[in-house]
Amino acid sequence: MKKYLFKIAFFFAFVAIIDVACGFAFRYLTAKAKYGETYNNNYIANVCVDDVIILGSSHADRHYVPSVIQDSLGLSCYNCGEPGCGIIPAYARYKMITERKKPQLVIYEATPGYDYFIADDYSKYLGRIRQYSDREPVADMYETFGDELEPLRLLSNMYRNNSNIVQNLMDIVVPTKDYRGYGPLFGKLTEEAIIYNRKTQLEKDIKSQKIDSLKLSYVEKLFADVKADGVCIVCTLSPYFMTRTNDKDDIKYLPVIELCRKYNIPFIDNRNYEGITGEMEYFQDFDHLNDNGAKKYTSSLIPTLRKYLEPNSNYLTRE
Amino acid sequence: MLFNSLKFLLIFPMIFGIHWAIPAKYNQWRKLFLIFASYLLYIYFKPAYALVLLGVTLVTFYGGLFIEHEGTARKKHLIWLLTVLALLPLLVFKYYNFLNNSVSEGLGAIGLMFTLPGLNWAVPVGISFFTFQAVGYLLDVFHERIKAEKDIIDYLLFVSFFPQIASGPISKADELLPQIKRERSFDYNQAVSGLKYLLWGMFLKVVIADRAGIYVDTVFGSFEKFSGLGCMLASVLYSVQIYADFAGYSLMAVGIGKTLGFSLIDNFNRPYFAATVTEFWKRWHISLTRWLTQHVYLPLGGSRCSKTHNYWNILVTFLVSGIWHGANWTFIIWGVLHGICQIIEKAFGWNKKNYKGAGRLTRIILTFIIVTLAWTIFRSPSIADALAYFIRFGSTSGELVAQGSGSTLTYTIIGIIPLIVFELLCEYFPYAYNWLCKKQWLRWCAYLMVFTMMMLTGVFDGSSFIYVSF
Repeated sequence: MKKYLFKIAFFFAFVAIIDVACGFAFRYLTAKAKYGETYNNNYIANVCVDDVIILGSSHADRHYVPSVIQDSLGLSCYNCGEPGCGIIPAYARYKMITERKKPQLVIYEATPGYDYFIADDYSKYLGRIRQYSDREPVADMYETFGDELEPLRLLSNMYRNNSNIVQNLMDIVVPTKDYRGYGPLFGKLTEEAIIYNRKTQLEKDIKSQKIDSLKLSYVEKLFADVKADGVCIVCTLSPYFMTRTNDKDDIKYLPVIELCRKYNIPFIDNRNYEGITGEMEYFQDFDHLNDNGAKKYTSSLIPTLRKYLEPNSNYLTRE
Repeated sequence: MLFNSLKFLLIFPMIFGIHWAIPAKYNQWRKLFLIFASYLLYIYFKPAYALVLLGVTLVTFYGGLFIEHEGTARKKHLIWLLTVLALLPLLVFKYYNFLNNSVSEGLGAIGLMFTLPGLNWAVPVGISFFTFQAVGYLLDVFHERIKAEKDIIDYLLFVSFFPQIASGPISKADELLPQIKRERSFDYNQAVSGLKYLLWGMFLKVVIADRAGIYVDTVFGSFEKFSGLGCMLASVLYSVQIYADFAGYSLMAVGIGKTLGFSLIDNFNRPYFAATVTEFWKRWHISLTRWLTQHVYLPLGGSRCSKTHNYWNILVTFLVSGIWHGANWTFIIWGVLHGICQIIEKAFGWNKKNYKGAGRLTRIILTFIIVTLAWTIFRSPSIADALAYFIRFGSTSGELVAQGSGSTLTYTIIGIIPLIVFELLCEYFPYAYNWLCKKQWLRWCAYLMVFTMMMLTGVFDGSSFIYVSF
């Protein structure tokens, strides 16, 4: 038995050495990444000092073009949105950025499914920021949303960088264009996709969803912190292909509308945006604008953003 | 509690330590401790489930004692009654809603509206496995293959032994009970082998099965978006997923058993190298095949009867196998399909042919295709969905690979490579495998590589095992 236990201990000693080596290797690989997701995440966590930041999930990532905002407002901009992201990484990212510098404007694209509806579990959201779990804002999120054994798992560098290696290496060797965090989609919506999506959209719409009060409390925390930081924030809903007029769709947004009212934050509802909604040439799929659509939408949003950036603007409108 | 959870991996060393800390001469205490640990881990799923487990255990234990002393005629009646009684929780939990819905739909088709209230209960974890193990014991006593167990402590452990309770393997009483009774002393080689099984099983589960599962779920969830090739790729990956998932669990179960001094049956023997469907069933879920052969196929007459009767026996056996897997027509059709394939193989004598070289390779590919098509039905929520999925095979429009799934596929392929290498070595180059195993440094490199790959590319969302729901 002694020999057995000794060999197990020996094995885990080796594992510990590999783990430490992996920690160094991943830090090196992350710092070396010049493109893609790894670069974006590292930029948001360690570099970003931009004037305008965009937070949210795929709608934020695909619909807001930083170059358009930069050119029009004369403010530097970075898109911190990520598909399937939601409030958990969004809040942590905001806190990591404000450790360095407070932005002038936060555009927060609300997505009820990720931001405050009950989903499978929190691990997929926490996974997006796991690499930075040694940073205080991320550690706080883990304390709130992680399970009781998560701190033990996070001791491992290999676990913290789990499922990152392929992306890390790709982001070093495969050059991609730097869109400042924006993830453009190319291609147009096809008739076939419309027929398919109409069917699935109906199925999606009839799903009843319940509110996750813990996640919702972090939406509130984000609003409260942004306000306390003296940063201008707008909460937005960007266009969908299909016109959304039914009450069921509206109900989904009531919690965030309530919070916007509470914190005197403009709620800009552009789900049905004239000139974009229903136009196949501006959409890549039913829910997401393509690059042309995103540029058109971002440009059309500029006057509104400019209005809210004006000093002493006092607002509470649902546009 | 499932083996792939960190909680289990933290608790297991304690179980291991306490178990071996109890001296062998106090074997009764060891058994009591293992029963306590088994029930505790089972209660973790849902406390009420333990009552079902206990109920099935007590019915079969006292049933065994009762029928042993009965005369032949009375015994025959009693065995039916006791078997139905032992199977009752399984029938109620697993099949009540299915039967209720099927009868209602059937009556509805002829204009009669009649429906019983549905049961909104979750199926107790591993109910099919422990019920079949307990019923197997009862039938063995009935057929006088074994003597009825007199010690309830031993029998409680036999049915509830935690490594195998959630997903098997389904042990036979004459294999496991003697091991429970024996005073086991720590065997270094067996314990080391157990850890190897545990490590490899965990690798199969978290690196391959769970990663492939992400992709498979994406495609099966919205297959209309994918081209025929895209759907076929997902079907192949489901074959990989279900194997890695179930074999992964079985290896972990066998491994944990070994570290505690027990030898459980190996449930898999590289099934995708089978050259016929008949051979596939000798390599896949071996403990279930053995159970069905002994308790369904042979009592029906096996192969010692006319050809037609034999074919019927095969079909019934695989129908039972399908039903055992779950209350859905997809499982039933899946079982029947496997039965039909074996009947065809038997009728043409393909199952007896010794395929070699290119012929064997062709047969292996053909068998894999058949098995994969059957798994597609098995994976589909309904027969209509399975048909729609198959129709999609002919489509050239749509995505080949799910958007944004590049890294998922890459990790899956990275995981599959060691599996293929390992299985090829074991299957076709056993001498080379044994030679490599003798190199200690190489073994250690392999263990460390497997562990590192697991940590770097595994999916740690604590997802359940596919067969746990059966």
